Amino acid sequence: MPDEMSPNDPRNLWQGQEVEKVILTVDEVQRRASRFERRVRNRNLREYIAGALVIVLSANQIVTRLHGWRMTPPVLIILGTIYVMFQLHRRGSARSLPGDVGLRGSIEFHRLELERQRDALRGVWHWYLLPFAPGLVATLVMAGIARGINARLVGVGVMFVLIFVGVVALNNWGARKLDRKIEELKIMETDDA
Amino acid sequence: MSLQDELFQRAVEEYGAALGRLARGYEADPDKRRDLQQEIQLALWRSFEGFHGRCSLRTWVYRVAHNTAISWATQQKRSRPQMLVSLEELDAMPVPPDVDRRLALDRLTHLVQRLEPRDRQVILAYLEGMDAAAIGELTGLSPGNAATKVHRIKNLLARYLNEGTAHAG
Repeated sequence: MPDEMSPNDPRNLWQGQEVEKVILTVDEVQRRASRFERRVRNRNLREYIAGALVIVLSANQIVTRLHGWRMTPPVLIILGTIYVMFQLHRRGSARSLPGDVGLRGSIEFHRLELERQRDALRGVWHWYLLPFAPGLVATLVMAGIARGINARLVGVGVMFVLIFVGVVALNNWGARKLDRKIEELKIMETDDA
Repeated sequence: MSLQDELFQRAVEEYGAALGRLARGYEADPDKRRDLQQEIQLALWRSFEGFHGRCSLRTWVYRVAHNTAISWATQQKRSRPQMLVSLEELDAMPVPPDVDRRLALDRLTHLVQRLEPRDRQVILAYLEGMDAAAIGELTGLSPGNAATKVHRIKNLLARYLNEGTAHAG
């Protein structure tokens, strides 16, 4: 066991080190807090504008060029976009740190952070990618009906499937890695050994 | 000045240096370390809105600081992956021989920065002078687990620092 009083005691060594003291004033910290909130609002706004643009372009196709069953792809894309925008709004990705940051022990907090990341990885495909799938499939089917099935169309279809499967597989792989860490932290929280 | 502002000012005055050391434990790059310190202070100011004296100021400040630093570390790890190890793995590794007494602090800092966040918060709390009970309160570890960790940390530090300096001497 180390000698607690020796000058080479790690606690003395650590606490006696020179560190650069960065101290924000109250005014500064308030300014930064509002800047952060503004940045988050702007980011959300950009996402809504992008969604609105997709909706307007698809609606324009419906109104000006398409009739009957040919309207199916843009209608599905509009519905998918509305669903994704609703999910973005509901999930409020604007988060920095949860409000109970000072109430939770740091092991539990760490576990909850990892669980949040894992759930985001596992869940993103079904609320961010899947809603667009019906619209894309319908677009390919319509193109096949209108111009016949050719190698290019098949290639595009295969590419969509590969991208989709690849994203899901990668996310699941990342989630499984996080699962292992989460289990270790759970053991630390409960194990008295 | 609001109570939130007052608490924030008191916290940075009393614990500013400790927060600087904590940031050093989580971030090796000096510029990013400055960012992390600012991030911690921002989180502290925000957190004081819900403080309501629910624990000691020290425990609150350390919890918020560690939790913010953990979020930081996990984000940084995604963008800049590096090999982190647990206390047990580090304990099983041979001590590098080429250490000078003057480099003891660098060695200590390097050791802290190599640890997984879950072990890093324990060693940082120990180095800041907390006992096993306080570490348990800060981290949420059970008292027995916290005491075991502290015991292991003491042995690991003694081995790393004393073997290194003995070799240099």
